[in-house]
Amino acid sequence: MSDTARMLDDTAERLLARHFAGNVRGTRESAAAVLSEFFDNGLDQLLVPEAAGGMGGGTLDAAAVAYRWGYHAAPGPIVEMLLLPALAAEAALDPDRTTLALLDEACVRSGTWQKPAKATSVVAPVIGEAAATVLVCAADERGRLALARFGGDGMELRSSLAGEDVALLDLAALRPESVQATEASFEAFAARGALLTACAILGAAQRQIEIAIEHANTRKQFGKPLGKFQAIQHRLAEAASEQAVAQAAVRSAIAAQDAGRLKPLQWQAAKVQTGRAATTVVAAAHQILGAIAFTEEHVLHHYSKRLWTWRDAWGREAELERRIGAQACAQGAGLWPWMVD
Amino acid sequence: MQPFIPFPDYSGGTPRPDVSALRAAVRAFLEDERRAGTIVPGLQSWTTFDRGFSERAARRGFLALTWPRRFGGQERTAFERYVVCEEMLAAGAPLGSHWIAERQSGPQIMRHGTEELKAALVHRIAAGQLTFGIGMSEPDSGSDLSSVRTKAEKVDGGWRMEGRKVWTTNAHHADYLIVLCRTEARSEDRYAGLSQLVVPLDDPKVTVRPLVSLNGEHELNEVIFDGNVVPDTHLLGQGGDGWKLVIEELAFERSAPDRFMSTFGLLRILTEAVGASGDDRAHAEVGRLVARLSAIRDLSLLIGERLEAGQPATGIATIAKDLGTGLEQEIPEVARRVLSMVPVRGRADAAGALSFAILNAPCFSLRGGTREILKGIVARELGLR
Repeated sequence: MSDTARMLDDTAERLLARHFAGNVRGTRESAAAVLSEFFDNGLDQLLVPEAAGGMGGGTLDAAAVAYRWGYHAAPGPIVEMLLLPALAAEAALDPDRTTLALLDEACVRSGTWQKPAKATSVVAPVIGEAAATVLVCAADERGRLALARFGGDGMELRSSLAGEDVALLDLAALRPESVQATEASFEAFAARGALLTACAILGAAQRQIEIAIEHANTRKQFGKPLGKFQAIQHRLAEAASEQAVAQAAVRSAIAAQDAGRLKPLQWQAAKVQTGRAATTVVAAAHQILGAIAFTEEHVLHHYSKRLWTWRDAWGREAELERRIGAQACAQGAGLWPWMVD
Repeated sequence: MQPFIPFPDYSGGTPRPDVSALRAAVRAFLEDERRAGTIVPGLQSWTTFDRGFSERAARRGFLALTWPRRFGGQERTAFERYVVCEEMLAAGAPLGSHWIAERQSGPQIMRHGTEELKAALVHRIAAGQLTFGIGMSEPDSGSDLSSVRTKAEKVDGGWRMEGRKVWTTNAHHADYLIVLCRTEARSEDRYAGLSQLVVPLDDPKVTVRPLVSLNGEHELNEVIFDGNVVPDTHLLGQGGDGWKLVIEELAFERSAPDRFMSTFGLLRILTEAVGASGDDRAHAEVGRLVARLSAIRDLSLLIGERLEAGQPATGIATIAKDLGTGLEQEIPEVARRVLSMVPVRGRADAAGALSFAILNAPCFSLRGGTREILKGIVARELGLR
């Protein structure tokens, strides 16, 4: 499987490097071109099971593509683009006009939609031009993944921090057109989405660190490069440290998921750490790049805005930390075995 | 700049042996020790000295796991040793008698010591019978180690020493100190002319003076060398290459779980006190710490994997220590906010454990390389400066 991952990684890198050599992101035309190449290269088939005619890839395979997407701050909601085709196949929907949103609540019971107790809305990033259908991915009472299908009426079109279209669904007012049960585990699905988002974050954060280092080593003030100042060195060291610890957590969680032994703590901690890294890296990069990168003149903002978007997608730190804490605090004296066994 | 960790990582990592039996054996041993009263969670640390504990741990096969059999080891994997170490640290066991000797002094002697020295000392370290101290820092030489002034002059059959070392943990219990000293006059190259000597402390010309910590405990010491002669066979390396040896030794010091688990005992007390019925805010604060601990442990395990595969790990080992000690210091501060209690000393309860952690916290980011030195190393690895 590692050969497949490497091949997909190369495909994604070639495709994106060609499109995004400079500061040319943000046009609808380039976004549409990249999206069609994503399909032309078969990247949409990556997570579709072999039985359904797809490539049957694992999380590591998809991780490579998500990472590259982040590294190039490429347009399009890459995590949804990777996850949707398998669900669309399952639900017999047209993947071109559909998108999905995660709803982390058990709000399907006996195949029937229950109004969620906590969430009042969900945000579904739009893939391509417009979304006619949103699949809200929720859990049923047995912890299986259920797909609640919402039609286009009543959706509010807004935009993400990155300036990309999102559909906002008012869950207090709307009801799904239909609900479809699946045999897939909701936990595994949410974990995969969180880990792929984490990979997109790591890619974008990696590129931001590189940009900041390059700038620190070339920009001179007071007669020497910024990188000679200890305050700048320490700021970058902190950013790279957050990146490294997040990478380590994501790496082990991906390996665990592909080996079928992923624990909730692992993927939740991995998402939490990448969210934390995103915050630290963006702040450091902007501080070091200075005023120019607060403008659209510089490429940095494409990365910043995606990082700010992704840290709140597929598991926000505050919510995941609460869940980890609740589990940890339920262990009595057994905290340590719970963490490592 | 290449990331410190190749990502995505297609290697799949090193396959790890099944350690469930090993974990169970260590836990059973630690449970016996807890019942016997040698482990008091939250009120002692891995620097706490207890020779009896170390000898019993050695008899059960929990020391020198990776060492060659001819030195009393078991030739097991670094991962298995890691598991034993983290289990001991999680339990809050008193490891001070053997920790430094087993972690760095023994390996240093095996790599760079004379045959006589190996034969005399290594087996006894593996048996938990010897305590070592680290002789690096001096009164005028803290973070800038290359400025050490302790000197050893060549005399017939050995080296005659003059000088002072400070912050030497457990020197008052130690049998030996590995001392970084100047064996040649200082030249243009400030790193040249330094050597490491294995110095016996039972010499009347060596004086150990306590430096009582702010928590009232005596663990740190000043060691004064006043004309003691160390035999030739106690020189590590070739002589004059002490700087290289020290850097190697420090790599062992910066990657281990003791750099992020010093206040784990308090974290466990905190999670128990909050309990499943705790409110969302308390759970979120605790969850932030637990997530961090889990991730730093992943980083620390990765360092071990890379070292075993002969891959560079300086950057991530330095990062692991910096972030790890930050977590150790954050745990008591979160406990302060979450638990409604005033830290008071004197008993092995939550308030006592909180006091102990607060009073120890400053040293976490000083020992083994200060936070600022570590960030400087990371910056250099990033290609800055």
